Amino acid sequence: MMSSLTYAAPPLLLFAGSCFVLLAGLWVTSNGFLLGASLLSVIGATALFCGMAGNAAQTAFSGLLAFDPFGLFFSVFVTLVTAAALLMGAKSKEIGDDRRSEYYAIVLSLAVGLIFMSMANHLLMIYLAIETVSILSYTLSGFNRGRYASAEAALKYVVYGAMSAAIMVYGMSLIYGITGQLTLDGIRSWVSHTPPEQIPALMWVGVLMIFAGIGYKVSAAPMHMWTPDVYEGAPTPVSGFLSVAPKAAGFALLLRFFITAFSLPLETGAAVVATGGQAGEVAFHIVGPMNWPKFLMFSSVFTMFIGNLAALGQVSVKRLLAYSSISHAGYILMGAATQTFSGLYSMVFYVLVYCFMNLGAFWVTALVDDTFGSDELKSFRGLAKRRPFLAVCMAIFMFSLVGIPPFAGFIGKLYLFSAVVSREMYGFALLAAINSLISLYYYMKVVKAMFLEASEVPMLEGKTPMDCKLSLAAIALLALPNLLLIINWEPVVALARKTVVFFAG
Amino acid sequence: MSHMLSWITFFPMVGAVAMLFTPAHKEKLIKWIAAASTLLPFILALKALSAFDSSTAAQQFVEQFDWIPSFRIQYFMGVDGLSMMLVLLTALLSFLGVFVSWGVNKMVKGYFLCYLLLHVGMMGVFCSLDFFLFYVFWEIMLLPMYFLVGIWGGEKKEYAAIKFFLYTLFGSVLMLVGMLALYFYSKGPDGAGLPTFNMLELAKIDWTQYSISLFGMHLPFDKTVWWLLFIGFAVKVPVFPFHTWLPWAHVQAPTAVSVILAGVLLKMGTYGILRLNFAILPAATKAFAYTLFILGIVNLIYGAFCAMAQKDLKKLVAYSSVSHMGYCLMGMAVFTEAGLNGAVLQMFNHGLSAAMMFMLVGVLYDRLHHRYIVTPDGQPGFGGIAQKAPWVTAMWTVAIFAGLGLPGLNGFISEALVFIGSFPVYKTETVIAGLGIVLGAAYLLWMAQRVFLGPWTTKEKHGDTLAAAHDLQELTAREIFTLAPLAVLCVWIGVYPQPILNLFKVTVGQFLTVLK
Repeated sequence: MMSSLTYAAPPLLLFAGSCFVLLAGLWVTSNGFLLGASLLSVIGATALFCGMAGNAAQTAFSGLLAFDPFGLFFSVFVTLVTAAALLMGAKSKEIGDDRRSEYYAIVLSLAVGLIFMSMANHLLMIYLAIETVSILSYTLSGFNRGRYASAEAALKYVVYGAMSAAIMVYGMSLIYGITGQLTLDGIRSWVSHTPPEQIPALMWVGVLMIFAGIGYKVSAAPMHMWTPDVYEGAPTPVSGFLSVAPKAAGFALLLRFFITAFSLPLETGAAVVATGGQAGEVAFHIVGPMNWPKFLMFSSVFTMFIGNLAALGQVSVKRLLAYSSISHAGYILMGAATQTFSGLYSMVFYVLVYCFMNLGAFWVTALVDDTFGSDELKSFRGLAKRRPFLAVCMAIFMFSLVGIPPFAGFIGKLYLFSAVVSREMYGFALLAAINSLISLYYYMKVVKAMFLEASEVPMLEGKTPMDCKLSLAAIALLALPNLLLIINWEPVVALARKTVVFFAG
Repeated sequence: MSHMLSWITFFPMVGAVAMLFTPAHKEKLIKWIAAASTLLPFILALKALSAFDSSTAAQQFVEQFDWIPSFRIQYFMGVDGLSMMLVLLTALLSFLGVFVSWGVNKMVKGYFLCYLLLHVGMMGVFCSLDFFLFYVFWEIMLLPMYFLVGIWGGEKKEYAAIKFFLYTLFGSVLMLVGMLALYFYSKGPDGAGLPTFNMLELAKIDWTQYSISLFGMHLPFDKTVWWLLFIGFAVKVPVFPFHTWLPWAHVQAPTAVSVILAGVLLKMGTYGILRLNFAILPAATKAFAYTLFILGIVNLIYGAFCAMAQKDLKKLVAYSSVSHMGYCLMGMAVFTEAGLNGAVLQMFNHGLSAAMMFMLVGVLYDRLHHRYIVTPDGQPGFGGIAQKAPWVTAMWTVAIFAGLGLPGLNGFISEALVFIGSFPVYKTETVIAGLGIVLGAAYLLWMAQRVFLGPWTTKEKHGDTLAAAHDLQELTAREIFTLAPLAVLCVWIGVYPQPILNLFKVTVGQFLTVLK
């Protein structure tokens, strides 16, 4: 138990930070102090996680949580995104000065939920983690309760979230009823030791229902419907945070669920790892009667098309980015559908790259929204003349999201595509390629507004939120990796590969 | 000098960085930086030419080292006769293009930054021998091109820019899938070898042994991949029916960008077909040779008819490019020495004559602010220009006759070679294609007659109204500087084509041996 607690120290630290900031906010009004305290707890948690990096994979709290390189990687990742979210909210006008401590506190405790999500190894823990994240996300998206759109977003989110949580928990009950197991390893051993004909079809239903719950978190179609409304209504920093961190943790959970519970690493897994996983060999057996990779493939294609086609007509940039984030969930699912080692680390790599481009895009949108009071495309018109730096950064994020060289998004897509092509799923690859093409159009709408169109509003005088040094520095920090990754991305891929190595047996 | 090709390719980046730190209002300085950073690659390209050994088809000035070892991606540059010629063409046109752009006065810094980035992409495409590297350069070009057309273009610039981008990206994503398929199959039939993006290695593999399944259909590997790559290049050439972006982009682009588009970018399509489809998938190429030939004829004749119908001078020139690229396709598809040499020479020649024509359209537009051969209300937009501006007319005449293939000018040599090469292979079809020459002469001469000869009916546009122009200024020194080198080359190749034919003859021979 004690050793388990040392593993739980980082999330506890975050939680302590959250409580402290919430209480301190009652007396202290200094934004710098509150932000500093929040960041300190985030940095502390990250440092603690990094200290565990060398440890062997093991489970803690009687199998509730798995501490392995995969979980650790995603935990560090979400804490870093949390830091970005804290900074993004620190100056945002959409979050009132008097309520900033609440914002920090909620974001910090949300990080705790996300960490549990990326480590959950037990059905109950999965449910608890997802619910923690969901409930805090509802409050965050309704943060501007006075604003109609924000309140609407929160309500839609709650209704949808409650429904998908109910579906998921019902699915869990089915699986528990059939297998008598709650840990993912336990389910795997039950499934692999039971003759396929004795596994009832209800098992499939249970898995599908759990997928619905996770799919809701990563906004995979058809569980995506809340996304545009919530992203549009929520304060922009919140939308940026929600579009990256819960999605990343959701994908971690998805992989862990399907790989740990419903597949077995092949004996050749080690060999695959040795060759860097470029061989395109299947690294996992499917156990049980259901062909989940095929299912994920259909879900991936469906999600891409829904996201990209719906994004075409949007005028609100936040809504546009919401649909774009749906389509990116589809791209990321490509990796899971390949059943290969390279597919797995391509997903991890893409999640990493996606964080940089999407957070950046939302950050720029937040500044523009704060300045003009609207996130519609018309606020972006003529941005290249007014704030060339901001416009260039936004263009980099947009191109990176389309996935054209030399930007980081291309490298991410290259790995996903190559994982799919290596399994000779050419039709799948072509459909995804067509989706990239469709997405070009709407991303270019933003670029076009910034560079090709003239603004209707006269040039702004004086200091605006777009001149905030802190935000500009952060945006530059997010844009640089997008631009420079092409020079040498080997170390980053090596990192991604290391995180999924132990899955491959 | 070591790393010659890297210097040629990346030196404009040095200029771009210098430009980034130059204040935006120092426009003259920015233009001179652009001139310097395109002049050096041009000088280096000439230096490379002098050191180039045209008696071998081997790749020269090779630079090769690992870039991303785990994905087997290499930084692999080298040129043979074919790419050497295109590097020269690119360097020359890019350098002259800076002076064509001298009159740009809107966001000068941004314009030349994009221009230099475009230069990097174009050079990279012609120099890279690693397929991945090739693909990256191929795509890098899209971004500056989008902005160059979209910001500095004509009235319909936004539509033209996105159309260009979408069409090209459509081809590129198919190419990406094809590229990855080649990569994974290069491991050999037992899957034991190491995959590669190296074009020279890929060319050694027998791809006919594989088959793939696509949406449940079983297809031969090499033919499927051939189409995936071909469509990517066909959009760029452009091959009918993928050509519809071209009249938009070429017409809306600013003059210098039209010059680059017609002079260099179209050649990237035919270059890609030769370098990848021909060299790597020769069996499939042979199987589709006839299709390619027919597509060439369609381009030739369809482009000519479209050009004939145009009332906009620049659009006419744009469609003439579609038509003239048809010769390249025809020459490539017959696999004879004369045919392929003609096709490659036609790439160079069209680069000269189309570039000249676009520059000259710019010359007229700068003075008269319109491009109507026939104005919307049916009046002649030009007429009798020869009386007032004989030098403008003289340069136009060189470009027109070079384009339509008058003996003594460069176009004749390449077109004749293409027909000499094609006739023994496809007799009837070649005779039909001969119609293309007649049509080419027809639309160009008809245009010349309406624009330069006859009474002075030239109009001038002020704001939205057209009024009779009084006079037409002669070519300025700057314009002569940009046009004269091209005119001299047109004549020189027309009279004495042997040096340039020698440059790529052996390389072309190598392509043919592979296809035999």
